[in-house]
Amino acid sequence: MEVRQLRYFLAVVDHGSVTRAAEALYISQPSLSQALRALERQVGVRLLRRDGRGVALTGEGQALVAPARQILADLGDAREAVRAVTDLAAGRLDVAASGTLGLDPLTGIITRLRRAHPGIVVHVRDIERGADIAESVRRGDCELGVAALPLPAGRLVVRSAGQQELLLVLPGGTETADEPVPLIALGAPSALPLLLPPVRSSDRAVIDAAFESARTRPAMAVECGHLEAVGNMVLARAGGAFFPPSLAETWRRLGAQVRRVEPAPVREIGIISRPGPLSPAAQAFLAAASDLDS
Amino acid sequence: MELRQLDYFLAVVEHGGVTAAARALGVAQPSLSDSLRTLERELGTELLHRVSRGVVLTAAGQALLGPARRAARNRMAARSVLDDLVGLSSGDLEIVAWSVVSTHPLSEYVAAYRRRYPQISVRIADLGDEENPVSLVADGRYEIALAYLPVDDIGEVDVHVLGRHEMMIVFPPGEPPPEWPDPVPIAMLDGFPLVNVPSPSPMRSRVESLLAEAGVRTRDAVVTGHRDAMVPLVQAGAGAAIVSQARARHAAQLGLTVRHLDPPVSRPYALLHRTGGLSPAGRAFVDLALELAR
Repeated sequence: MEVRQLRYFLAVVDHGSVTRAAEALYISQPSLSQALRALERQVGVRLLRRDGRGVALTGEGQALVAPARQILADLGDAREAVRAVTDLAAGRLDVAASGTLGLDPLTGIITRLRRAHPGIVVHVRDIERGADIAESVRRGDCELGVAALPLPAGRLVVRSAGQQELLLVLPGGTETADEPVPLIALGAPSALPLLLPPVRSSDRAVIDAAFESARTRPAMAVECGHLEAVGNMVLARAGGAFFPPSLAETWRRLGAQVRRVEPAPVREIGIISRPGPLSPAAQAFLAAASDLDS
Repeated sequence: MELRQLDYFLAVVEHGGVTAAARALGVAQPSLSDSLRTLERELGTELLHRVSRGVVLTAAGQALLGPARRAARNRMAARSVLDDLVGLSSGDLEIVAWSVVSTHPLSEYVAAYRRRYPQISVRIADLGDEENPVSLVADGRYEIALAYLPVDDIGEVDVHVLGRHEMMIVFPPGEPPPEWPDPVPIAMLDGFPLVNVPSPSPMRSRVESLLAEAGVRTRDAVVTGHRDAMVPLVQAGAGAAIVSQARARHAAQLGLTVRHLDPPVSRPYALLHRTGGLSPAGRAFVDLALELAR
C-alpha cells in the first residue's frame, strides 16, 4: 500500500466521484482509476462500487477511510518532526542586541542554546538603538531582538527576559564606607571619577536615570563603549565603571572590586519578535533565555 | 556669527535635540532656540530640521559641523595656550578607535594620561567597521584616531606607527590538547568551531585565505558583531576565536589557552592626527603615547 494510493482513495471519498477527484489531483481520470484498481488488488477487496450517481464506498472501503486519514496524518507529523529536528540540528538564528546586553545576558543564553542544540549557528548584530532593533526585526533581518524596555515595538511581540542590575566595578583596594555605595556620594566633586558608556547609548541611559533619581550627576573621567578597554582602565585605577553582573564578576577575578549602588541602575530586558510562529531555533533561544531567569 | 551660537548648534547635534541640549548646558530652551534661529537667519539657510523626536541636520548643517567643532577646539586651544604655564586647562579630548586597539594599548595610554592630566576628560568613540579613520580626523570630527594600517589616502594627517598586533588563537576551557604546538599550524584548525566576527572583515578574510591555502575550513559556531563578546563566548565554551594579541592577552589573564598561528598574521597599528591641528590636550596625548610606545 502506497501513500499515494491512499491519498487518491481519500480524494475520491471526499469529492464523491472519480472525475472530480482526478481534477482535484491534477491527474487524468484513467490514471486515477488504474491506481484505485491497483490498490484494491493489493488489499484484495473492493473499496468502491459504481452506482447511479458516481462511486460509492463498499463496506470495506468505508472501514478504510479513518485508518487511511490517520496514516496520512501520522506521515505529516513525522515529516514535521523530522524537519524540526533538522532545523535545530543545522539552523541559523539572527539576533540583534543592544550594548552590553550583547554580552550579558546574551552570552549565557547562547551558551545554553548551543549546549542543547550544537548545530544552531547564532549570528548576533550589534545594534545600539532600541528603535533600530525593532526595525531590524520588523524587516526580517533578525528574527529576535534583545533590548532594554520600554522600546517602541509597535505590533512586534515583546517578551520580558527579566531585570538586570548594573554593578559598580572599582579598582582593587578602593575604600568604600558603605555597601551599597550611594550614588549621591559619586556625584561629589572629590568622588571617584567614572568611566561611562557613550552619551545616548542605552547603557548610559540606565546609568544617567539612576543618577538623576539621586539628584546628582556623575563625574565623568572617560567616555568609552569598549568594555574590555573600560575594564582595563578600572584595573589601571583610572576610575570606576558600571557593568552587568557576569562581566563585573570577570573583572573581580582580575583584581577589581564590585559594589552595588543605591539607587541601583536597573533595566528590564525584552526579547522582541514578529507576531506569528517562530522558527524552531528562535523557540529554542526563548527556552534558553527563560532557563537563565529561573 | 558668535562662538556661543556655534556652541549651541554643536550641543543640539550632540544631544539630539534642543530640549536635551538646553538641559545639558543649563540654559533656558527658548534662548537656545532663539540663538539657533538667529544663526540660521545670518547664514541664510536652515541647519536643522525639527522633527517629532528631535532634530535632523540639513546638508548645510552637516557642512557646518566640522568647522564648528574645529572652532570650538581652537577656542579652547587659544584659551589654554595661556594656561600652558600652569598645566593644561580643563577640556575634552576626543579619540576614535577600533575596539581591539582600545583594549590595548589605548586603555593604558588613557589611564596614564588621566593620571597626568586629571582635569581633562577623554572621550573614546568606536571606529565602526566601515568608517575611515583618516577622514574622521582630517574633518576635525576627532582629534586622534588609533587604527590598524593600512588606511586609505593619508592627506593632511600625520601617522605614527606604534607597534604591531599579531593574530592569535584563543581556545575554550579544556582545549587544546596539551601536546598541541605553539605556534599552531593553521591546518590543525580544520573543522574547529569558531566564535567569529561578521563579514566583511579584512582580518576574517585574511584568515580565511590562509585556511583555504592550507586546504582546511573552520566552522562558525557564533558570529557576533559585539567584539567584546568574543572572549566571554570562548570562556563559555562556544568555540575558539582568532583575535588580535591585544584581546588575547585579556583571554590569557582569564586562564584561557592562547597560541600563535603558523603562518603568523599581523598588522601594524598607528596613531593618526591632523597635521598641525592638535590642541594642547591632544598634543600632550600624542607625546605621552609615543613615549609609552617606545
